[in-house]
Amino acid sequence: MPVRGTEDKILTPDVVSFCESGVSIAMSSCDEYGNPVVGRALGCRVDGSGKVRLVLRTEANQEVLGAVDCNAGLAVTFTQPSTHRSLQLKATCARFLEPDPSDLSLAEQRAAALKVELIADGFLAAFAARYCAFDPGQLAAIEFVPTHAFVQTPGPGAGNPLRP
Amino acid sequence: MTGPVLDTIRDCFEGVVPALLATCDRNGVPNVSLISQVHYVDPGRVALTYQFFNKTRQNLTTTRIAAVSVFNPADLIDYRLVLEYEETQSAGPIFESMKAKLAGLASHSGMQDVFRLQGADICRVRSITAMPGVAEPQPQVRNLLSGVRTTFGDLAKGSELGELCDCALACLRDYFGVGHAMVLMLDAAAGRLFTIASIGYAMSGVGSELALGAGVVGVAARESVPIRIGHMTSEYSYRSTIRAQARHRGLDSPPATEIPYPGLPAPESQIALPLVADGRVLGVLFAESAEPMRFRYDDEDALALVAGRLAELILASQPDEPSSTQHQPDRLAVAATGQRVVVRHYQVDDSIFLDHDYLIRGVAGAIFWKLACEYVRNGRGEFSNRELRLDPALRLPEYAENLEARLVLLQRRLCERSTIRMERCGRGRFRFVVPGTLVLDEVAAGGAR
Repeated sequence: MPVRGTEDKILTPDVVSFCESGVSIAMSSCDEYGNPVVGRALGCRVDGSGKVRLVLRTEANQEVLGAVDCNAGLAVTFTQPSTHRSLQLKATCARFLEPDPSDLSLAEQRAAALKVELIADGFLAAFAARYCAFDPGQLAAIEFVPTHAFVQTPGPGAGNPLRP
Repeated sequence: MTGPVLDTIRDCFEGVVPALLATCDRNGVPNVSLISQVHYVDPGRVALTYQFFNKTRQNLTTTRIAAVSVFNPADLIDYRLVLEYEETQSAGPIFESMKAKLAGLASHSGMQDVFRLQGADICRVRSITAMPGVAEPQPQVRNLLSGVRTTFGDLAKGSELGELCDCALACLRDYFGVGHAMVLMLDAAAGRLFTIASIGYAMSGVGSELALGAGVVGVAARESVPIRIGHMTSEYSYRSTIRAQARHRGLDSPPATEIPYPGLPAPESQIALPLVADGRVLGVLFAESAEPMRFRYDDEDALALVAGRLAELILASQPDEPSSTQHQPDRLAVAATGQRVVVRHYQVDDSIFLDHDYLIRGVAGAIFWKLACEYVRNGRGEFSNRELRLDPALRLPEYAENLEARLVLLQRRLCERSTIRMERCGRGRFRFVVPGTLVLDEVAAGGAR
């Protein structure tokens, strides 16, 4: 089965399609004192070389961006609200990047898709819109190559390595 | 300007938006997952649901530090909390409160077979940071603090158990917008709760019983802790509890001596507050709604204050009973005219039937039988609480409010089911009023008469 990237056992077409859909995206890293930091991303795109790019709100994710800038590892969990399907990608390092024009359209597309998911899951449209809102002038990007992937869907199998 | 405090962001912990939980292992490798519930414990602590032993849990117990993101559905602000793990509790009030709420959330999201609480991970909150955003405060629907103050004022006018309970329920309706509520008293010896007052239901349900530990009411009484569910689940519903009770007795339907429980057919939100006074659980104040997430943390605080006040007043209202030498029971000529009512008493469970209609059973049934016998055999119409309390045949539980609760229960069942009345005629005294003739029919335990 054709896959993208060097980590071909992780980024299967199914995983890529899932991560690029209207999922909620949680991030964590480790600060210089060894303490966890948490954040939320707006959208994800996987390029042809196996790099995962996240676009996120700058102001609300200063701690994660700071930790990544200090070469800390990164964990990212993608969750589909309506099904609870969830997977986690991990990387030993990541890069903090200035956003390029495509990041804005990525954020818009993914936020719109998540909004549809949230409404389908029973949230009010006004709430979903506000939850997915962002300031286009306050975006940043993170790029990483995942080294590990785990099942994160709630249940006894959560935490097991993700198998293609 | 001071930063946010835990008390003011409790709407974050209702589970509307799942929280994010980040941890690291000893080597600094991060991990992030969604967590079903972050539970407010007190102004300095929260508790996390421990459901599975996974990487998150391993990291939490090893490094004892976590970062959490919670989203407040009220002001639409994302708050970041730094937590320090203290201990895990796998029983007790916090655990039970979280277990009930988790069951509701699980049922709401179709995860009832997956979500099972193993423990409550208690964490101290080191810091709270609000992420940038424009807070959009929700318009306040009602002023809970003002409601509590007015309720306390109204309750102060009550002087006896039934009156106090009715007043508390009317206050819930008038000042807190609660449409359906009831007060249940605990019979600790029997391990059961029985309804003595209700509001908003087609049938009062006075006299209906629940087992200690069953449903939100039973758990609140057993654990002496408020239990609150925003999305109702079968695990805590009364209909399934009652069905289970019937099955336990080998019955397909409730027996004739079971008074139907009045609750809503499809409640979404329920809250049960224990009535605690003098270190004891006297009963439960219960409210419910067809609206999901109707009762929040602030409602719980307000109703807990009302429940606490009601419990204190119930204890304080116990009558100073005159000694038997001060008041000789009246002798009344028994009216031999009017309606003839056959009173059947089954010794096996002290159940009473009036002309084939079930009235009451247990201690309240035994009290009624004593009153009826004294009335018919000795022509007595006036009684004191004290003589009932001292009567060994009635097998009254230890505390004063147990007798009072039975008398209120009996008085209300009589009002609903017959023309016989029990009317107060002084502190600790009442009159047994029969507009007709009573015919006594005693059925021994073996069925003999």
